[in-house]
Amino acid sequence: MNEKRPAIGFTCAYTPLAVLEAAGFSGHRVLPTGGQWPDQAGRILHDNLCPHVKKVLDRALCNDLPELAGMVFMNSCDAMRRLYDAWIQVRPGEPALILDLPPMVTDRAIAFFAREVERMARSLGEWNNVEVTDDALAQSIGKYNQVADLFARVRVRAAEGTLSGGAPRLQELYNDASSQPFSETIARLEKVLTEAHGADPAAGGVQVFLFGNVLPDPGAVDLFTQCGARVVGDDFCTGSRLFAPLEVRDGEKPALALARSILNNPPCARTFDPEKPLALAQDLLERARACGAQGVIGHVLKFCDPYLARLPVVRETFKQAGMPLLLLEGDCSLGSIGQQRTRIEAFVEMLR
Amino acid sequence: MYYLGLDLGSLSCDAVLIDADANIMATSVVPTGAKNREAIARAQREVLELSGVAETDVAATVSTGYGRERVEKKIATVTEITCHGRGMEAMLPGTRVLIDIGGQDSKAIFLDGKGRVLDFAMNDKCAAGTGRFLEAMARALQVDIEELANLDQGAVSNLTLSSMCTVFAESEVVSLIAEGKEVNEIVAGLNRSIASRTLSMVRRVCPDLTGMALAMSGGVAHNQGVVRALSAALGVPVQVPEKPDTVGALGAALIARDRNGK
Repeated sequence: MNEKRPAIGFTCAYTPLAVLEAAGFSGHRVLPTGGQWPDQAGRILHDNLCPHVKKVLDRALCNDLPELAGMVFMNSCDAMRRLYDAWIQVRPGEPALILDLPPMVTDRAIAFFAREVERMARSLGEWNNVEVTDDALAQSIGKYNQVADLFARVRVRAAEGTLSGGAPRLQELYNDASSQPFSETIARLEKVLTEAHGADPAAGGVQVFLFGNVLPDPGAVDLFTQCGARVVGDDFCTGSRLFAPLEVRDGEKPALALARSILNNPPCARTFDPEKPLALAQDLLERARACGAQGVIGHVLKFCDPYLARLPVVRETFKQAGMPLLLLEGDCSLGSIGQQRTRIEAFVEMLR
Repeated sequence: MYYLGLDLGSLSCDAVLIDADANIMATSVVPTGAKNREAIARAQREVLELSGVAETDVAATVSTGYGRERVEKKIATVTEITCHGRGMEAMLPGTRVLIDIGGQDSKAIFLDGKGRVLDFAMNDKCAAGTGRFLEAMARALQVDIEELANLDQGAVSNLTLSSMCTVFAESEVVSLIAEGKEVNEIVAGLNRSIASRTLSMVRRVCPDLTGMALAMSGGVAHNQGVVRALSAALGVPVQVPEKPDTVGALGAALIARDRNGK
């Protein structure tokens, strides 16, 4: 089933994907993968900036992108804002939109973000000459939730070790889903769930929970497997956070439902409630325990200030809870994570 | 039956052969050089010749170190972190904190007192404070690497090096020489710099060293000046086994013995 829709690029898991579909588009996540191009972003963005953002800009500079009808950015962190600023310079004349994303989750913040979602719907409607009605948005949220539900079921299969291909394949499914219409993802995942239980290449491995920001390369996930780990859960913006379910309350406007759900779903470190400074760490700990993880591996991008700011609390929380933790730093490439091989293997040996 | 542990590091390839009762039959430390397979063969040949054991009597081999995958006929590869923990427990039982400074990286390993790793911290991103760093500094001071070990004796000033980057530190040493600083003062400063850098790794895995037995492995442990500086910085004596560069290989040999059902 190939549904032809013009694609809108996006770069952040906070992007309200349901709005893209409601406006007749499909989302295309511009991932920091590939690498057959020279590093050029350094001439526009300074050296000490998030490698995710720089690799995405490299792709734009080298025209390593599919045909896009526009781009939607989230003002989720300073690096993303810089990416938007650079993008409109290097691809002038192409439709681009940036949404402000509140850093906290309060009623006012949700109301504000709902207005941003409505602004996005209006802009995308203009780009595609359609009106994004509440009905269309509600229908799109329904399809998104179907995808989220199917992914939850595939994750269960991956966690129990019956998904053929294991965690690396789950990552491939996430990557594909982030760049195709919901209907295609639904058909694909339904097919996956009808497959006979397959062999997990990591069977017998030490059970670990992974968290961090951007780690889309299935080869990187496979490296954990090669090191003797079995990934039983994740919290990445290129993983489970991308398709977290949206809650729609009776009588609630779809834009408000989207805003409330997106802000309340498992957060990136950039979302922070000063009254609950331990929230991220405690949430990760609870989820790791729920997965039966024997240890947790955090993989964060170099120069990611939001994560760097939270890691001391994560480290301390895990230490007090007796949950072994390994922190790695990378740059989105398999090469950088390959250098961490001894650390990962030693961590796995420690947990055996 | 005998068990072989091979530790292929960036500067040296170390081999330890043990018998079924874990007695050390022979050890060998050879330079890795550019052709690490040749270094492996030489280290292996040396321990067999020294012990008089035939290759066919080696029941199992475990490899470790950054080049562990390069070793043939192994039953397993195990990281140097696990192997150093196991090897140090055999050499200095009861060690809780192990500092391993090798040719190109350094590690602080927190042990449970029985050789099992509880936590570790590792610096493999730059050569600062490692064997390569000391080699570069010896070159700048125009002395042999072995001489560095006691050149800090008699130093009285508290000279410190501001940079721990190998390249910048070498420039700084050259500048200090040009300023007429005494070699022993410069070497003592270098040792303090290494100790200071290692201290932060040790604190990360074990914030409170009270009552902890500390030991050091790796080739840099031969440098008594560095060991003295570390002991002073940590406030706890740092023990060094007789052959600190064979700790990892011994651990690998012991693991080979365990895994072979002994």
